[in-house]
Amino acid sequence: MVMNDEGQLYTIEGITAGIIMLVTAYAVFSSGFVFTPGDAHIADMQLQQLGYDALLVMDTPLHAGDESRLQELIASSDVTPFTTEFNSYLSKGTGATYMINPLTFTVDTRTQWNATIYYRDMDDSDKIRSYSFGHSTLGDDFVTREPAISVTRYVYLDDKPINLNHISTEAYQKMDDPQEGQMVLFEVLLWRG
Amino acid sequence: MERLDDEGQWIVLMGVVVATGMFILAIIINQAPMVGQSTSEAVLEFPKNEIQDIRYHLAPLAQLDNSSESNKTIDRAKKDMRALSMARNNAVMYFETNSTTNMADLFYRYNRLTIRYNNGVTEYYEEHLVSVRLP
Amino acid sequence: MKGNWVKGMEDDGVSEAIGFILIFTIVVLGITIVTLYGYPLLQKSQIGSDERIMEQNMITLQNDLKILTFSNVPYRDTTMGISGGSIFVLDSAETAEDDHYFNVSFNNGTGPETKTFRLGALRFISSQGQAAISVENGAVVKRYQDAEGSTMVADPRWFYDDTYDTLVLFFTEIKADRAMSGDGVANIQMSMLDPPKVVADVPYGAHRTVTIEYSPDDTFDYSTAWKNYLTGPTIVDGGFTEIGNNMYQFTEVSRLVIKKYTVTIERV
Repeated sequence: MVMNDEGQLYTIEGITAGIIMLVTAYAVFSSGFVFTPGDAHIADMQLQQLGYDALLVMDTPLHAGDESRLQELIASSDVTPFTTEFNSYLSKGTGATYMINPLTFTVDTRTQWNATIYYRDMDDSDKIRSYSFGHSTLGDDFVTREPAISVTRYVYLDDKPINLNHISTEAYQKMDDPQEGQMVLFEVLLWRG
Repeated sequence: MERLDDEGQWIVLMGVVVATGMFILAIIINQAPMVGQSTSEAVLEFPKNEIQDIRYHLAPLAQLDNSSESNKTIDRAKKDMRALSMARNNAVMYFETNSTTNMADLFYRYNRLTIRYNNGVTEYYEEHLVSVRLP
Repeated sequence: MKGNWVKGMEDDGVSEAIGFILIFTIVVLGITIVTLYGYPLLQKSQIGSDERIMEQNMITLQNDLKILTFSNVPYRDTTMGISGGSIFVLDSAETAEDDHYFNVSFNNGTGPETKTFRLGALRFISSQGQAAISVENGAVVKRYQDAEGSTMVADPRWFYDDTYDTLVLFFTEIKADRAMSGDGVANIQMSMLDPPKVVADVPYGAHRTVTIEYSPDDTFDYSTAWKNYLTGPTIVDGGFTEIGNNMYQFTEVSRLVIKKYTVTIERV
């Protein structure tokens, strides 16, 4: 049988190309990567801004010098109206809507939150105590391990909130009622449910 | 052996050019500084809203007069905010108000407000005059 | 060879056999040189680039740890590919056994007090090279096992506010209920379910002295990294003063705040 010596160079070329591709693939896939997508934090950033804005809107009084809605709700320990109003601020939007039923449209019902109020202990030390101030429908517990983000806002209170004992007995006992008013820190943990 | 075909040399040339280009790009990527922190993480870390929040609440306090009652309010706010910002926002936060400045014009008196905020990454220092309408 | 490649060129003296031998020799020589010198060089640079990539990965991990702790968030996950080695999770109790901890001595207002902070660590150990990169106490530190020194790749967030002379120290303790290690693609699940504690907040009014002692693990000794960090200008211009072996002192503290975070690694 006569050896056919045509196409040798092409064969070599083909084999070389194959080896180069294999080596490249190996080099790429064997090196270390961070697989957490780099844009994961962009959503967090937006959520944080949304939270700060919602709190700012609620803490802005209708007329200068008046009490803001947030102050009013904390001062009267009204968790339920706060839940409704804060939810509506978080889900406000103009874009594509999500239909709950033919009469109700909402933009986004997935944002979950859990609010806490931090205050300084009445013993005048730097000790910080807290009580819970409502949460969204699924916001009382983390179902899975959603990455959350926290937003805070200072709120000035003239007096100790009334009906505080309905929310937290401990806070009712440990929170100061100073003549001169006090600052509390309102913290909301936000995540996409 | 194959007959050497000298046609289509520009294809080979393009191949060489592309390969060289990719090689140079690879070197550039390799030389790029290590970051490990994305832009949005840096944005998350920047306490823009916290500082705005603090300013929002301090301006009315700085407008108070020099009565002992107002001083009590300011003292209380100082202590509360100092403890709360350290406990929850990891920031050193101080402020001073001075309502005894004798700066005034026909309609306004000016109180000085100094704010210091530092969380180890962002330092903020502000000194400004808050105007109070004279009666 | 059939015919002339180039017209008008004589090929009478060309021997195919000698040509083949020449080409074959060149090819074999080429292969030999590449195997002898090129391959080790390639491998070395691969180990080097693996370590560099892992260094960057550890910084990413530290950043997620920062979001978890400083933003008071309960959960954070990081998924990363680990190349050229494995990542280990060390519980703080385990590292404390290896005498790996921080001591902070200060005056608590009534008298001297010393607090000990256990650390724990997330540690990458290169399998082919000598590098050991750790995330300990919120910092990323690196050393080579065959060399003495160590460097700090990313700083922890300790700071000093010079307007009111406030020194703020954050300690991050890493806990794991079992020994864990990972290679290949690892999903590192972190959680902070205990709220951070303000361990000490002492307003002195006057300048007081704070002493920090770093006790290193014998095998993974990062004392040079911490020394350079503490005595360098990162926290305060001029830095801490070294007063003994791994002991550093700073005298101009009017208010000292120490905060402690406890992070649990649930899975790798």
